Amino acid sequence: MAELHVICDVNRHLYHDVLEDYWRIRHDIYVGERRWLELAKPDQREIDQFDTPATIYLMALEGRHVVGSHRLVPTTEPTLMSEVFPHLSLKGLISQPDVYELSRVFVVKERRGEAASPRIESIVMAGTMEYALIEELSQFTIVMETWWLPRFQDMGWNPRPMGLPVDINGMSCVAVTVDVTDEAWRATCKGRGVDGSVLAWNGVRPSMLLAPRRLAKAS
Amino acid sequence: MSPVVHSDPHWGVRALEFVDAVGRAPTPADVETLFRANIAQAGFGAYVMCGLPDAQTDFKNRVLANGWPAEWSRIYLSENLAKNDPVERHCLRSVDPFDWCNAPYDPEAEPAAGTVMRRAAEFGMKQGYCVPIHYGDGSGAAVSISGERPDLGNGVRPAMHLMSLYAHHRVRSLIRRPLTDGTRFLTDREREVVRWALAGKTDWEIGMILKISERTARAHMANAAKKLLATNRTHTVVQALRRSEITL
Repeated sequence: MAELHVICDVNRHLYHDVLEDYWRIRHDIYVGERRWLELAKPDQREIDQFDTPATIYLMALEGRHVVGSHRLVPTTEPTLMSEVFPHLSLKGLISQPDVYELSRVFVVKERRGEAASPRIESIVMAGTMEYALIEELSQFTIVMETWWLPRFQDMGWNPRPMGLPVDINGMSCVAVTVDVTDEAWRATCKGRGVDGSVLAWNGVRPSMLLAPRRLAKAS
Repeated sequence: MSPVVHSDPHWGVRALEFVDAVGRAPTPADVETLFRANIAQAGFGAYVMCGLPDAQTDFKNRVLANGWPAEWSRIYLSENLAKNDPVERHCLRSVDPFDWCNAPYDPEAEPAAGTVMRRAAEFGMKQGYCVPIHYGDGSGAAVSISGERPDLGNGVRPAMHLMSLYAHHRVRSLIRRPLTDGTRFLTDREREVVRWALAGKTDWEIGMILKISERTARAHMANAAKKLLATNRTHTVVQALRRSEITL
């Protein structure tokens, strides 16, 4: 079964090969498949301004093969929401050390819609919630295509809209917050055949990344 | 007095308040009351929430909430109008919401489709807006709202979109009894029928295979759907797989 590796500034040296594949896969998916042509790069690596040392990647790997991923950007730094889509929120913007923005979620083409349980997407979603629980995050913010909302609800997550759906390049998109709860994690695992923990921590320990936040809290 | 202008912020605030309120609604009937009142503000007088169509599930067994005029509901069911309804069909093809008038059909080749739309109009359902819901596993649902002359101005569609998604989700969650872990509750026969449905067999074929009538096969399938709180055939199979009633 695929594991969801926690990759960040602290341990990225252990994942050079994986990250190189990752940038190219992102280019294939977001530029090639989804035709977000403004993301196209001559070197075929899709890297944007939100890929910073503060960014955390949850990478579903089989051996060294990337099969799926999710990106977490702290809302105390610039995010898609704050820089590109602030108009999606009627409630203002969230900038809190325990709130992260989720983006660039994908499963590689050849592993989508599999009947075998658990699916890669289930591992990515359950693992994302697991990670947030371990790191004591309180919420996610997500800018998503609106037709994904019911899929999040069906998974046991509780997406709450920050504003109305807005047409972006012909796609209805909406900004939501999702509470990080044990319930949501259990519902995702139970409903999708995920047995429990799916996270792999190589060269990084829980809370290492968020140490500055903890210190800030304590002081 | 100046006329009320439904601007974006107005409908935005209203929709977000609705989402909060509907999440606290204790029963499906309360959800429907809230939903009815809010869509009425935009001139939508009728609504229906149902599972996505498939070849073999009666419309009746797919309906989650029915806010149609009673007489229209009776005609729609008794004459099986769902079969020719272009709005129903378009839900399978679209992930985005659409106006009824944009559900395509060929008036020459499919006169029955045009008839459904005309007869709906006779019941005051002249213009409509439909929100398809896809869960990504082949199952899904739709919320369709309509009226004599609804306001489809700036900000109304996105508000209706959001309200439909959350009203539907709340109704669905409330009528789903909590299913206890590991308990199988289909009968052996029902499990057998669902297993053949998974293999792509029709009720008629299943009847032939199991040496029972098509009608009996259909009844087993309907019972399984009811027990699994599924809205159509695909959903029944998916739920049975998820709950390990059957395996691949």
